[in-house]
Amino acid sequence: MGIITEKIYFRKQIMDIKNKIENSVKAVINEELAASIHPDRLSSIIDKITDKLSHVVKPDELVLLNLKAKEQIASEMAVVSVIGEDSVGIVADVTRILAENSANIEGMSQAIVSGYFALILTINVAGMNISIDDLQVEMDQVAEKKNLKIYIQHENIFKTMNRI
Amino acid sequence: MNFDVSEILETIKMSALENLDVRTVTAGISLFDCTTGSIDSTAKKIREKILKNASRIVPVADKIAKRYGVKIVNKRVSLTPLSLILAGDYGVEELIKAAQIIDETGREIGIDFIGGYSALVHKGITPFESVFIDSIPHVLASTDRLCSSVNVATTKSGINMDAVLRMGHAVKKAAELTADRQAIGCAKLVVFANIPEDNPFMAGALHGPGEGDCTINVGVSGPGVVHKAVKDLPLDADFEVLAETVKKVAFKITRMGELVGREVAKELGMSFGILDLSLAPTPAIGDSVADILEAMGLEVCGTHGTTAALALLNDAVKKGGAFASSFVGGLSGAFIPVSEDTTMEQRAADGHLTFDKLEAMTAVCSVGLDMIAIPGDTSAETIAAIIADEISIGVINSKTTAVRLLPVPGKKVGDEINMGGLLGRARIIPVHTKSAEIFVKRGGRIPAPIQSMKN
Repeated sequence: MGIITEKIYFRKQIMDIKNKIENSVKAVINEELAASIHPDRLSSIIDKITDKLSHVVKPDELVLLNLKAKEQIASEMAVVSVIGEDSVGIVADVTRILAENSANIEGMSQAIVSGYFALILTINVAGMNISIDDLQVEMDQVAEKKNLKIYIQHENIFKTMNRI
Repeated sequence: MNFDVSEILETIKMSALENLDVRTVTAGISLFDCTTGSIDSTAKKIREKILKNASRIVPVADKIAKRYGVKIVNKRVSLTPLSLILAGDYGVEELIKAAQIIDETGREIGIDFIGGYSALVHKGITPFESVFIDSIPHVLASTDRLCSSVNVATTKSGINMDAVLRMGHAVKKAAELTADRQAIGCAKLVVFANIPEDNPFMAGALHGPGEGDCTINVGVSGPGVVHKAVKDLPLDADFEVLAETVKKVAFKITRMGELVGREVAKELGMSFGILDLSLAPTPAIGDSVADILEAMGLEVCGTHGTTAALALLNDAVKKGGAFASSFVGGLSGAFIPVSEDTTMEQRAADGHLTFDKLEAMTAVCSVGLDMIAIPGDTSAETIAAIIADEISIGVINSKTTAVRLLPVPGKKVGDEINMGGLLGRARIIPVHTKSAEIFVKRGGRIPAPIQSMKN
């Protein structure tokens, strides 16, 4: 999305937010004051408050905030490498653990390198419900059972070593 | 981003099979804000500052290591040269006490070495520095982690031969005081020319006076990785191919080191200083610089051609590193610590790699005469003469050189010592026995060479 379209998109969102604020403020003030105050004065107060609130953050700042937030929840990738002797059910075991822990698989390749089985999975660890350390512990159990080596490494190591 | 299977396997192979590791993450800590009127309270302030800034260095480094699947072997601290911080009207006993407090702090935070029991005396020795140098052997004998370095020369100022002679005696004394522990004191004492201010490697690490408050410097290693790459080349691959291969591997190692260093620095809230890309061997099999030289086509490391092979290696490592990172510093090159390199130790023990050849090799690589066990009856004057030779190579070539010798008391040529761990084992090799006493006792300074006049 270009910066212009992004701004338009966020402006629309801001309008939505403004409406939401307006409705909540209305609800609270109605509840607390409705009985004791003239309806016109009530709506004037509501208008003033919502107007003030919606100017607390300028649209441009909101765009920036949103971009920042997006950065933070952006995917964080790790590479799971499974290396060892080929046997039945390796892929099943490894992917089952990943699925159980909500690690989305975003890339997968497999090769036989000089007689050894190599499975490389790129996973998104941002949404995972356990830590990478704990995931490694679970993988180690599979690795031991099937006589494999399983490495989980943050993708940055491959990025820095192989890309300029 | 997608990676080739081959890229991923290569990285895994490097760390799992070829001993690629981050050799050390060293937190440099400035102590200028720790000086007080008394040595006791200064030592306490130093302790507090180390605890405040570096107490998490071990768990943080372990965490980052796990994230990237790369080993970080050592976590260390380097300090502003303590001769500048502790200066005052104090005696050896008081200095030992202060040193023990600092040493104990290192134990508390779980690190194996602290560098910085150091003095910069390349142009002159103050009265306090004189006491400080006297205290070095005693401090090394009564502490476990503290390392000492003394800079006795620079290209700009020439060679302080008074300091060189003093260090000849200090090395001898350190050996005597730790005679019951294979002269371990000497393994923690380095004499330098052109000492770098940001070297993360022990025993010569210090946090130079020009450095900032707290900085992470990283020492990356990987002789095993370079060896594998060289070994895989056809025997008739020409020098261009050879240099290019080393350069590419050095690039990858450097990138990995910088990534790890920056992450550790970020987590600790420190700035990232430099990356020292040095091929530092360890006694582990396959982690040898001598193996690389032999893989280039030498029958044994130490034969004719060794200096040229090392020169090629050292230069290619620097070039690969310089391309990979803008902040390469420290020593950056190839180390040749004899006892720490299994193959090199073997060649020295067998007589193929002589003391003189080692000296020649230091002219083209990044450190100096390092971890060489010599006969226990070598005189302080002879050790001073060895230091003078080595230091002059550094001064004339505008580079760092250093001397770390082990004149093990009671041991003769061929005897073996074993220091264990990263320090390894070594057999005593001969040095020249004819005297240089009159020469080293002349006193004064060897003037700075003409190439120092660059302004």
